[in-house]
Amino acid sequence: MKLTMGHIHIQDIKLADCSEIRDHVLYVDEAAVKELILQDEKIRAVTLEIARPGDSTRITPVKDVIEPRVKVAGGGGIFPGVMNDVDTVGSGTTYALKDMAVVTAGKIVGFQEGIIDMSGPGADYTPFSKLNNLVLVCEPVAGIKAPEYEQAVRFAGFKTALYLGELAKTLEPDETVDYETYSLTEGIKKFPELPRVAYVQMLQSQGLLHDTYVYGVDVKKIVPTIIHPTEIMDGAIVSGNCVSACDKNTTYHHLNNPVVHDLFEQHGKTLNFVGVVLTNENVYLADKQRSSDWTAKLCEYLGLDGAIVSQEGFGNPDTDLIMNCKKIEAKGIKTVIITDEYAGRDGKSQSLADADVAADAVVTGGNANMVIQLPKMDKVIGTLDYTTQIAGGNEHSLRPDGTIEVELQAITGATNELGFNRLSAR
Amino acid sequence: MKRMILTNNPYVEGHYQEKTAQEFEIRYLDTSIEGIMLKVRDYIHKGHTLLSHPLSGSVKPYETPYKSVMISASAEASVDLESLEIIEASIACCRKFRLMARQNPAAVNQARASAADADFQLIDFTLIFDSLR
Repeated sequence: MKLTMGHIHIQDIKLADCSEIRDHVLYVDEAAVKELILQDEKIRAVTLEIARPGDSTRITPVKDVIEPRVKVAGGGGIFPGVMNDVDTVGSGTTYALKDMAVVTAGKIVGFQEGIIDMSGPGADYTPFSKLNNLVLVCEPVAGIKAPEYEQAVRFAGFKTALYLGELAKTLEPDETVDYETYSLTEGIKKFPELPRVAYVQMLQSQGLLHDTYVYGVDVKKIVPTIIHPTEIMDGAIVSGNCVSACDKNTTYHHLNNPVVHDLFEQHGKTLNFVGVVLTNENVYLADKQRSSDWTAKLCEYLGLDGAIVSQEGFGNPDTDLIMNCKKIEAKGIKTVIITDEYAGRDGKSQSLADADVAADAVVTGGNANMVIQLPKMDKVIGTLDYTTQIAGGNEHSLRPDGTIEVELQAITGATNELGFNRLSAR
Repeated sequence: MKRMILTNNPYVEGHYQEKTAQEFEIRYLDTSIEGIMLKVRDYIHKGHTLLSHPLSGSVKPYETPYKSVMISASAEASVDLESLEIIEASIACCRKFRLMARQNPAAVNQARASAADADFQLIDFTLIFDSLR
C-alpha cells in the first residue's frame, strides 16, 4: 500500500469572511465554522480563538488536537468510519496542513486536564506550542451528560479539521513524501537481508474519556489486529481520550505518529517495516491476557525479528506493556518498549507499576511527576477554574499572581509515549 | 461465575446493587482508595482472584478518591500469585501518590468536597462497567 503525503505549510491563521488558503495563510470564515459546529444540538455556543507560537497565551482544558487533512486521490476519506464512509484508506494522495492544528477545549468533566502554553517554560514541554492553533471552545447545552458532551466536542474538532482540510484540495503542496509498505511475500523478496520489524501500538480503551476508535470501532471491543501504517496517516485511529494530558495520544499524535515516521525513514535501509499491530488496554485482566497473547501470536505470524511497543496512559497499561513485551520476547523477537514514568517529584520512586527482566530495552518520555512553574499568561483560552483539580495540581496550584505550579502531567503531550517530544536527555 | 466488586464509590453501590444482584456482589466500604486496595489484598490472600486491574483509569490515585475493583466471589484453596503481584504493585503505586498528595495535606480530601466529585464517581463507575456491556 502506497500513500503520497503532500504538505502545505500554514504560517498564520486569520479569522475572515471567507475561508481560503492564500500565500501560506489560512483564512477562516468564523461564521461558517460556527454554523458547522452548532449544527450539533448538544453544543450551545462555540468561540473561535487563535493562538500563535510565542503568544502569551494559555489554552486549557485541552481535549483534542487535530491536523487538518484531505484525501486528494485514492479510496475513502479522512477519519473513515467516523466522519466518512468506512472505506479502506491509506493509499493514493493525502494533503495535510502543516504547522497548524485545530484544538478543542471544553470542560467535559471537572478534573479534565490539559494545558498548552504558547510561550514560557511550559511551551518547551508541549509540541503544540510550536503550531498555529485554531482553538474551539465548545459550551454544552444545559443538562447534558459527560459522554454526550465528550462526543459532541470530539466531532466538532473533526468536522472543523475536515472543513479546513478541504480548502487544500486544489492547492500545490510545498513538498511530497511517499510511504509504501509491501505484502509479506513482496517484502521478503525485496529486502531478504533486512530485519523484519513491526510496530505494536497499544491504544487506550478503558471506558468513558479513556477511549480510542479504529475505523469508528471502540477499541475496547477489538482483538489485536494488523493495519497498514499509511491507514493511520489518513485518520483510521482517532482519540476520544481526555484524561492524563501528558501521555494521552491526541488525534494529531496518531496522524503524525513518530514511530511510524521513523520506521519509514529506515524502511528498506536498515530494516523492513512490516506493518502495525494494534492492540488495546482494557481494565479486565482476562482482556489483558487475551490481547497480549494475541499480539505475540501476530508478531510471530509476521515472522518478525524485532518489535517496538508503545504505551498510552498511566497505571494499568503498564501491565499490558509488560505482558506484551514478555510474550513477544518469548517468541524470540527482540522488543523495545516506549513508556513514560511516574517516579515521584524527586524521581526516586519506582517508575512503572509493573516490570520484567524481558523489558531490557526501554525508551522513556520523561517523569510526569516533575514539578514546573508556569508563569501568568496575558490571555487564557478556556478556563483556569479547574486548575486545582487537574492531575499534579492542588489547592495551591493557582496563585494570586496567576502563576501555576503543577506536575508535567498537566501539560498536553509533555511525556508522550510515542516519543512525540521536543526535549531529550541525550 | 459470580463476581464481587469492592468499592468506596457510592454511585456504584447505588446504581447496581439491585439490578445486578445475580451477577455481582457489591461491597461498599467507607474508606480511601488505599483502603479498598488493602481489602482486595486480604481477599486475594484468602484465595480470591483479581479480575479487574486496581489501577484502572488514567485519573491518578488521590486525584480521584474513588476506586472499584472486581474479584472472584468465591475463593480457591491456593493464593493466585499473579493477582498478588498486581495488587502489591498497585498498593505501592497508590502510596507513592498519597505521599506526594501529603506534601499538600488538604489535597487528600479536596476531591470529595469539590465540584468534580460527581464526575470522579461517574468515571470510576464507567471504568468498572463499560467493558461488561
